[in-house]
Amino acid sequence: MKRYIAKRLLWLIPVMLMISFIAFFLMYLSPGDPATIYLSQGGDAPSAEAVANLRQELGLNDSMWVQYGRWLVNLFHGDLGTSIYTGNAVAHEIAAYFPNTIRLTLLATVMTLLLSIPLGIICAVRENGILDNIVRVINFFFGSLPGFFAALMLIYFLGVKLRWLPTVSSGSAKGIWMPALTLTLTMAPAYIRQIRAAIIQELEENYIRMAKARGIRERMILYHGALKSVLPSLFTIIGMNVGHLLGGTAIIEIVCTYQGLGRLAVNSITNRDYPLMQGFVLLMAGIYVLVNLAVDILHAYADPRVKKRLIAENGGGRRYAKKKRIL
Amino acid sequence: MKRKKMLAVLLCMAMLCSALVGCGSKKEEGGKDIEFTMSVGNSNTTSGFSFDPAVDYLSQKSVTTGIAETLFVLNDDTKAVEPHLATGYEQTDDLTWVITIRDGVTFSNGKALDAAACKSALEYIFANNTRLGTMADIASIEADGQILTLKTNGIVAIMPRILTEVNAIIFDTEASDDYSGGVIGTGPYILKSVDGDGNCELVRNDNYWQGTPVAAKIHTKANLDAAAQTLALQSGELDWAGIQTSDLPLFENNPDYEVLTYNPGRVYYLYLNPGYTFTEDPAVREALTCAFDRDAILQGVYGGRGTVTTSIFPDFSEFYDSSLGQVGYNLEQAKKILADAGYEDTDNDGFIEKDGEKVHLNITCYSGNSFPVLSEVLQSMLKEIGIESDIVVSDAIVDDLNKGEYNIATYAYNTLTLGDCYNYLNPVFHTDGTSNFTGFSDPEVDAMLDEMKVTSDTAKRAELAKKIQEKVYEADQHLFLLHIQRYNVVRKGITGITPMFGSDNANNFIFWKFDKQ
Repeated sequence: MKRYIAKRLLWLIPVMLMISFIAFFLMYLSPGDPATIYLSQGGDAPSAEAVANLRQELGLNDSMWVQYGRWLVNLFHGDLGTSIYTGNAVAHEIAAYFPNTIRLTLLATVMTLLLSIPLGIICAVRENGILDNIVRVINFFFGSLPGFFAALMLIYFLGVKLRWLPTVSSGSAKGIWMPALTLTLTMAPAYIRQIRAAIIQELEENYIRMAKARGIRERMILYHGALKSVLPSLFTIIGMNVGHLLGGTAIIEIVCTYQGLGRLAVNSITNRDYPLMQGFVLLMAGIYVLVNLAVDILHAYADPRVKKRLIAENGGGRRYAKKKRIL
Repeated sequence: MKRKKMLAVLLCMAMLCSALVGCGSKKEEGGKDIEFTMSVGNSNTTSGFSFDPAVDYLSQKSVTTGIAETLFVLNDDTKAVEPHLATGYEQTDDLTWVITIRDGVTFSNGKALDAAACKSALEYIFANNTRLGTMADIASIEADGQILTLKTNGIVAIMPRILTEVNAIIFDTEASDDYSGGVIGTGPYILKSVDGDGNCELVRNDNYWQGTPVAAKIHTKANLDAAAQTLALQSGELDWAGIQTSDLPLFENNPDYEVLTYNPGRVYYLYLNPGYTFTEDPAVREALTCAFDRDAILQGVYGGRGTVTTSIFPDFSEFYDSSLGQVGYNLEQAKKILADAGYEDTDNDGFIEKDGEKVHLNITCYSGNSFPVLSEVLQSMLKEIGIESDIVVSDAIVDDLNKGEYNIATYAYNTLTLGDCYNYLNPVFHTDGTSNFTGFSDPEVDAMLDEMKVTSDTAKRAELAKKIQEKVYEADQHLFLLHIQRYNVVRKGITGITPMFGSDNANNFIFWKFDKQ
């Protein structure tokens, strides 16, 4: 298993390099000059001389390869560069927003699980019952809502009308609840469906029938049998969503005025802030790979068949077999 | 008897003393235990903040949070320069400005304000803020007691106006090395804390030189987009914010809010490109000047929130002349001009041709200021005179206009930056102007602009501005449509806020008088 983890971590390096290059290449090709955009912020057109000076200062006159190479060399020296727009170090900018994103990700994920696991189980056990049908309709409604619309609805009802939560998330201790609630309501339907379907399928397995025939209580069967079996698929969906959330849910963050990484990424693209964008892409690539690795490891521990396969695929199986022959 | 007389004399002296002390005191016991929450900056989805006056454009500014002040301010109505931390100025020769610094002012850390402190702050700003440094063109700054002397390399006619700019703040440079997280100024409020998003907690400066600020605390919210500001006003999270025109109906005639309106002098206009196919013909450009119904545009696109214009400057400006201007809307006249120039619909498809070639114009716009909608209205109006057109929405408008591949371009510009006309006229109409996207070139206009650059006399500047306008209106390369209003919304019962508060060109130092009923 250690070999497998080490191999996956090593793969992180070429993956991140490749992604950073593609991102740099695409940003370079996109129209709009960072120097002109920066100097036009006051609303007036900048002089050609001012643009030329700033381009020179930022090294934008060099070829794409030279610019990318310079960024790469600085990266290996632990320097992600300086934001064109704010003049602050990219690491500093990301560090300012990343904790907000982590907080939002954790809160939204926990809330989603707290909502969807009980509902998914109840709906599976009471399949096609009244509660199952009600949850299905609500699921259908929230599942088909675009995130930004759900955010606007919640802001209007919970913020403007009832005044329970602030409409502006930034600068308020209670501010995180609005985007977290939005994400919960838009993510939960998929979780509920997944859990419900997995449990229904599991409840039809022979070993469950056998357990029932042996007179084991339904609750025991559910918690020690069916629920344990749906964990791998639950880990997969959590992994995908956590990766997505840590990448920043830009639209929700913008609508709720939450200062997270997604909002930062949108701004860096709008401002053609190459260094900041590169820093963001690098971080996201790393997060996705690590989250997926964590999910695979959890998957392996939740399902011994997966663990055995991973060990076999990474050379452990031969040693295991060899040891067996000697014995 | 003697004792009584003595007592009377003592009483009179005591009364006189207290009266004199009362006259000399600048302090007012007006502080209340109230708080305000307001939105600062109009930054849309901008992230990041800095209080460093060397960093331009970021939404958090020391002036609009009441932390720091400038030497001079602009009068909200007349745009005249008025003293603030300075008590006056004198231009002793073309290159020298002598400014007297106000006595009795202290920074919020207790340090007295003198010319040396002003010199240190301005030297830092002019050396590090490229835009202000270029404008001020400073050769040297000298300080002697309360006398500050600025010497410039060339003639800088509008130096006092430059010193009203929101980044030309006077702050204690010795208080810290890093100004991005806050500065020590002389303003009515002191920065207590600022979070990573730029939201500030400010407390009253009890030693403020104009008197005790009314509100004990101010909370500012930074980087809110227009929709967030509107929702926060409705939910009661904000006491004051600037809003978009489209959100105005939510607050107009609403007993809980008061809408404050002002004209910032921002003109919406069109560039008519004489260097591109079809609009290279003066007859086409002349027809275009009377083809657009400004009233319909104002009502249809901007909900009537502004004033139509045929001039560059708004009518309250000293640079405005009612006898000057472009022709107004006249559909028949536009059609006649085109017909006389040989444009006619020979194939009866509703669009005109000349020499067998169909007239087809492109309207280039950017996404701000509802310009895509304006472009659609212009397109329909062009159809009225038989001209077919396309709309191009650019996300790099300056680059695209500099390429010159457009017929009509929508644009907006502040005509009264720092309360003066030069910062509009020079970039747009000088042959080498940075916003001269039509290639407008008139040696007389260039000469007048060069003269304006070195003329500090206000009346003479206004006279030059009017002569320049005459030339511009004759050329039919620019079409002035509207002056748009700006709107701020304040919760009912809050007093002391002026309509222009929060604008870069406003006298924002009324901050300390804000009160809640």
